[in-house]
Amino acid sequence: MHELSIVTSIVESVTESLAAYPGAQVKEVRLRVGALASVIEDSLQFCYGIATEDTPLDGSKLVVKILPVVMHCEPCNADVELPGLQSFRCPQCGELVADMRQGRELEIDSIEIEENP
Amino acid sequence: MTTRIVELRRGILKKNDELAAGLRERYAAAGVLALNLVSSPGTGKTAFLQRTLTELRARGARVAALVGDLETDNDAQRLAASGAPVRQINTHGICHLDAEMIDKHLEGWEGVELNHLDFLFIENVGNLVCPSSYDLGERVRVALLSVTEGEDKPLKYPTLFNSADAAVITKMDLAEPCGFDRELALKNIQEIRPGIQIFETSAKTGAGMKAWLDYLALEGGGRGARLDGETVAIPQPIAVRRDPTPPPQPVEAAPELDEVFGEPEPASNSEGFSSAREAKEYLVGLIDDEARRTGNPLMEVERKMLYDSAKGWTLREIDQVRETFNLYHDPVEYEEKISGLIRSARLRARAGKDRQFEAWSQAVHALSHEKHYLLDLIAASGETPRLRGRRRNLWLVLLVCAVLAGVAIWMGLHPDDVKVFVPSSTH
Repeated sequence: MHELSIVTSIVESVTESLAAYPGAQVKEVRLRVGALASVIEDSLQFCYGIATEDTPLDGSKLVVKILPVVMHCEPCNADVELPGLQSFRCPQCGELVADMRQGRELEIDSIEIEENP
Repeated sequence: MTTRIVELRRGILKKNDELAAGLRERYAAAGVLALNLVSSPGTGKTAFLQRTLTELRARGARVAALVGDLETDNDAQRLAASGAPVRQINTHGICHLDAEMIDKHLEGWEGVELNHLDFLFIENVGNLVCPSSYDLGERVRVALLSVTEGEDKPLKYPTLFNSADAAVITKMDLAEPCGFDRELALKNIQEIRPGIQIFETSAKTGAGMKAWLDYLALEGGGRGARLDGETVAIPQPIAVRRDPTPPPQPVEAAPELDEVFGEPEPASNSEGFSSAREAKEYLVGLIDDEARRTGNPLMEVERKMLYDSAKGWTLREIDQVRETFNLYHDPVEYEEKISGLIRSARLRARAGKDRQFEAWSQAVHALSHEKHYLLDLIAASGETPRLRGRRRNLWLVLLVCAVLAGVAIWMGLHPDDVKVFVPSSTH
């Protein structure tokens, strides 16, 4: 539901960084989205088409990389990847784990632009 | 034409996060504990918050609330019944609150200054998905879930439950008719957010509110703590906090009991208690202990009502206590409950060491020349239920007070005529 707000923020942020590259065309916007970021990719894509209209991002492609949740397991002394979101237990030892190392990211990783010399 | 990859590595909600960080600093500087309450629509956030605000005020804490809804100010009106300042935020279609909305609504909020607050509650828009992405600068995020929603709600919405610092189960009074599987619900919450503190509450009956309020007092650095000097001991959640805030300091010194009727009057003719206040605290302590023994401890407001007085020492916030009491309690039921506790406490004192019963009698005696509600309750618990139904006797109490005042003035004017004054015991 809040994907439109998120996409709007993406457009603002990318437009801002384009100031350093006058006349450049945005071809691709790459996101890193944690599995726990409460963002749905389909919704993002749908909103992206609408929100980029008549902006420098118009016609660009949105690439979303979903990052799995990584927790630190104290007993195993290791960072472990959770296979799903239904249980915060270490897949190796079965202990409950609370120390999150990855999974809430919601960031623009990079953009691909085309410059006219 | 050249293609170039520009690394941005920038948070999409950076603007919100920066604003939220600013708010967090402001809350910390003002010494206010900010909480963000999130749940589905219909979980009972407003009823729960209304009760929380009312009871915190009765504990003498300074509270305020911001409440988010798509439209209408119905919730703000309901919350305002608590007497706390409340401000509505209408998002007009947006499914969550963000830091900018909070920032805006903190400005120009008549009568509210962060510096003068102990707790700021933010009731988010009813939604279990979107609010989890937006930091509002809060130190405690509370996820609420009602017994009518199903035990698997945390599994369905792990993003929200995993980001919470505390979980509250509401409408516990409906647990039985709903066939609510308590064990399963608790397990599911822990499975998603290991170590989280869970409170099982009913805004209707008040069940579980005490533990919740004690938790708030602890998180709030002692503000809104109980007034009887009891140290609040709640185990800290093992979960790692989202925010790099230092852990709250344990409540060391109990807040002082405040007085309203000036200096505590010396209690004449009793050896064990030097003031009415001391006697009262002793008796309330015994009744409170007795309630604990029955496994049904007194709620804060019930305990404080025992301090009520028409004349004599009482709590400074007694007006607020009465207000809360009148909102949520039936005085007849309350008096019956307390009478029962007094009976068993007195029996226990009598069966115990002689000294204990002596102390009980002395405490009652120490109060007997003033008009304390506790005396009515003690009388009602005995063989002579003459003062049962306090309200009905309000005029009688006022009349007696007037007579006593007259006698006191006369005694002041004619000190030589007074030789011995032995107050009659109500016991």
